[in-house]
Amino acid sequence: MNQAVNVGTHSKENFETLGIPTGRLAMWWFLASEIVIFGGLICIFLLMRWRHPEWHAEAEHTLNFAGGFNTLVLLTSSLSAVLAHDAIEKGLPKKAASYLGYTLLGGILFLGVKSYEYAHEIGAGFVPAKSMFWSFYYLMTGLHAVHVIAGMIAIFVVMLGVRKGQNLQRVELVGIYWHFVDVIWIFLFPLLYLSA
Amino acid sequence: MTQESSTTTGHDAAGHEIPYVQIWAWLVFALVASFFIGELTVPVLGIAMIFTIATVKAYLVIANFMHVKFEPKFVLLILGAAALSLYFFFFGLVPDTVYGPFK
Amino acid sequence: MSDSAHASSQSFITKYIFSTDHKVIAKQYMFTGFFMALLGGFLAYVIRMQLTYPGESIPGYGAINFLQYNSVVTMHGTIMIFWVAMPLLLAALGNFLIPLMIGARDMAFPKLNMLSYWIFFLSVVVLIASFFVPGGAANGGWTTYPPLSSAKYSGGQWGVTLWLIAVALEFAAFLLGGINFVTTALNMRAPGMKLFDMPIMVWMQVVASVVFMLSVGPLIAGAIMLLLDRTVGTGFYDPAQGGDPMLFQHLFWFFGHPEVYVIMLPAFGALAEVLTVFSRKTIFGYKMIVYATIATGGMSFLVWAHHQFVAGIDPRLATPFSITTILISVPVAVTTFSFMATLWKGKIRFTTPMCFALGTISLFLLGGVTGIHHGAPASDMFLHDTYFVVAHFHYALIPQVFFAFFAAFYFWFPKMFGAMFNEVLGKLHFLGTFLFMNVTFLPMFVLGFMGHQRRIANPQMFDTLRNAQVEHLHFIATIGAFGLLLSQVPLLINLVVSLIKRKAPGNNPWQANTLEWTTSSPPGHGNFETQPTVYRGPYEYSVPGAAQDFIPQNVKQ
Repeated sequence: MNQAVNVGTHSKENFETLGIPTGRLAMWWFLASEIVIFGGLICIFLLMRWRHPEWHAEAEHTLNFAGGFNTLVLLTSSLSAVLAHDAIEKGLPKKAASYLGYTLLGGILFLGVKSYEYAHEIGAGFVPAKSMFWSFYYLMTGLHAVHVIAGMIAIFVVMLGVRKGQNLQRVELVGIYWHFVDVIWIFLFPLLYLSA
Repeated sequence: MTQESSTTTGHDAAGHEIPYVQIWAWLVFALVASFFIGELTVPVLGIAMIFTIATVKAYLVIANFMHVKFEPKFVLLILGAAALSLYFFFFGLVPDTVYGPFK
Repeated sequence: MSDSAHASSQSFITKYIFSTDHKVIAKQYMFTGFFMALLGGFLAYVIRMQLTYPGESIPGYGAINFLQYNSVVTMHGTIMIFWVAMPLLLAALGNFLIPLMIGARDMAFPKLNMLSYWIFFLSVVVLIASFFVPGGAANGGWTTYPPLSSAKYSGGQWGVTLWLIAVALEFAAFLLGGINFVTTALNMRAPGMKLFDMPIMVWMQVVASVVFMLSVGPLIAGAIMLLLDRTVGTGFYDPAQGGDPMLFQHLFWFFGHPEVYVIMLPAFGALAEVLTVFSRKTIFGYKMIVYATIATGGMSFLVWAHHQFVAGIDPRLATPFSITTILISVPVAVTTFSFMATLWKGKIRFTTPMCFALGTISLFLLGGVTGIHHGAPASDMFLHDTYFVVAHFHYALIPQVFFAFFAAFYFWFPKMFGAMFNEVLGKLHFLGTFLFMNVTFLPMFVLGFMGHQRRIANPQMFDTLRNAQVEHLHFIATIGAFGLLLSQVPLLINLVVSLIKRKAPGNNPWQANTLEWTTSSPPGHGNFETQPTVYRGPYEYSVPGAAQDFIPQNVKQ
C-alpha cells in the first residue's frame, strides 16, 4: 500500500500512497463536508416536518410535474457527464467536450424550470416567509440551485480546457460533483414535492 | 487496494464495463414509478415506497456514475463517517425538536 | 502547482503576499492570528476594567454602555476562538508543519491553500468592519443564540448579519484548508513513511481537520437559516411562526463542542513533539495516542448537549449526554498520561518550549478537572452561566491556544525564521504568562461559586454581588489581566531582537528526529534539496547502542 510511485526522484507528481489520485481524494473529502451541510439541512427539515404534520396541506401546492421533469433533466445530464468521463477514458476528448456541453444544457434547463416554479409560486402568494414549509422549500431548493450554478461554472471551465486537450482528469472530478448535486435532488424531490 | 499508475484516470479503464445508458433507463423508470405513487397519495405505505425508491436511485447513481463500486474501501469510510455524523445529529435532536417545549 | 524553477525571480508580491508556498501562508495565518489576539486582548482589558470599576470611563475606550458591553463580550469570545485559536493552532502550525514533517515539497493544492488564506483574510475584514456599523458589532454572545441574535432583540441590524457572514467565510477558509491538510497527509508522504511513521502532530492535525469538516455542516445550514430569519422574515427560530429557538442551540453545539477538540488536538500535537525531544526519550505509547486521538475525535460528536442542560432540553437527554461527556475524558486522559509517562526518567532539558509544554499540561489539568462539574447535570444546574464556567474554559483554552502554541512557536522558531531566540527573554515570557494566568482566572472560580453570572455588565446592580469580596476578587483578576498582557512584551522584544541579530541556529538545533529538522533553516522553496526517504519512526531517542541520542527519520542504518 505504501510503495510510492516516484521513489528516489523529486518529481512534482502526487505519490498516491493510498491508491486514490490526490484530486479525487480531495473531491471525496469535499463531498463529505457537503454531505454534512445538505444532510444537516435535510435532517432539520425532517425533524420539523415530523413536528408539524399539518404541512402536508402546504406541500400540495408544489408543482409535482415540474419537479419530476427537473429530476429527469438532472438524471439525463448526469448520464452525459458520466459519458463524458467514459469518452476521456477511450481517448476522445472532443466527444467528451460535447457531452459536457449537453450536461451544461441540462443545467440551464433545470434552472429555467426552477425559475418558472418560483415565479408561479410567488405569484400564488407562497413567498418564503408565508410559513415554515415554504421557508424550507426556498432554502433547500435555493441552496441546491446555488450548487447547480457552481457545478455549471466548473463544468464550463473544464469543458474549455478539454477542448484544448488540457486537464483531462478534471472531467471525472466535475462529473463526481455533478452526480452529487443530482443525488441531493433525488432526495429533495420526494421530500418537498411528493410527500404531500 | 487497487494498484494504478497516475496515467489512468479511472477504474473502469481497468476493465470494468458499466452499462451507463441502461442504468439511466432504470433511473427514469424509478422516477416515473415514484411519481405515480406520489399522485395516488397512498398514506404511510406510499411515503415509505417513495423514499425506498429514492434511496435505490441514489445508490444507482453513487455506485455506478460516481464509481464508488470500484473505489478503494477508504472512500466508503469517508462517506460513511459523514453519514454517521448525521445519524448522531438526527437522533440527538429528536426529543427536543419534535416533542420539545417550544412546540 | 507552484513553479519552483522561478523561485528566485519571484516578485515581492508573489513571494510574500499572494504566495502559494505553505511556509509563507503559515506565517500569514500566524501574524493575522497575532493581530487578532491583540484585538481580543484589548477587548478583554475593556471587560476587566468595566467589571472592576463599573460605569467609569475606560482609558483607551471611554465610557461603555450595556449594549456596547454585550458587543465587547461577544467579540472577545468570537475573535479568540475563531480568529486566534483556529488560525494559530490549526492553520499556522498545520500549514507550516504538515508538508515539512512528511517530506513533501508543498501542500497537495498550493493554490487552494492561498485561496483559503485570502478567504480568511476577507473574513477578518468583514469582522472588523462590523465594529463600525450603526448599532455596533454583534452582541448576542459568541454563541449567537436566537432570539438574542434575532432582528428584534439584537439592537443594531448590521452587527449580527456581518458576524454571520464573517463566520461563514472563516468556515469556508478552514474547510478548504482541512481538505488540503487531509489529502496532503494521506497522499504526499515521502517514500517509506507509513501512516504510523507520521509524527503525532500530523495525526492530530488530520483528525482535527476531519472533525471540523464533519461537524460544521449543520451549523452552516443553521447560520443561513438565522440569516434568513433576520433578513427575509422567515421564522425558523421563532416559536410564534412554528420555529424553535432551541434548534439553533443544538446546531451550534453540534459544531461547537467538536470545535473544542479541533483546537485541542493540534495543541496536543505540539506537546507530543516538544515533550519527546526535550525528554530525550521515545514517546510513550505512540499507537495508543493515535487511537485515543481518533476516539476523542469520534466521541466529540456525542457530547454536545451538555452545553444545554439548563436550556430546557428533554430531561431524558441529560443522562446519556452526561455519560458521554464524562467518558470522553478517558481518551483525553490516555493522551495526557502518555505525555507524562514520556517525561518519566527522561533527560529533561528545561528550554523555553519545554517550559511552555509543561505549563500546558499542568494548567490544562485544572481546566479538564473543572469540566467534570459541568458534565454532571446536578452540579451544572448551579454553575452554568456563572464565572465558574468562564474560569473553566479559560483554563482549558489558554493552555492550548497560548501555552501550547508558544511551545510550538519557540520550538519551530529557528526553523521558521532561521534565527535563534533569546532563552532568558523566553523564560521571562513563560514565567510571567504562567503566573498571571493563574492570578487572573483562579479568582473567577470563587466568583462563580458566589453566584456571579457571566456576561453581566455591572455586578453592583445585584444585591448578592454588591459586597467587598466580589470587588476584591474582580480587582485581583484585573491585576492579573494587566500582568498577562504585560508578560507578552518579552515575546515582542525577543521576536524583534532575534530577527535583527539573526543568530544562525543550524539545521537541527534541538537534535530532533522529524524530517523538518533535516533541511535548512528556513527551508527554501520546495523544502528539501533531495526528497528524503524515511526508514524509521519519528521518536527514536536515546536508543541503546546508537552513536548519538537521536536518529533522524531519514537515517538508514
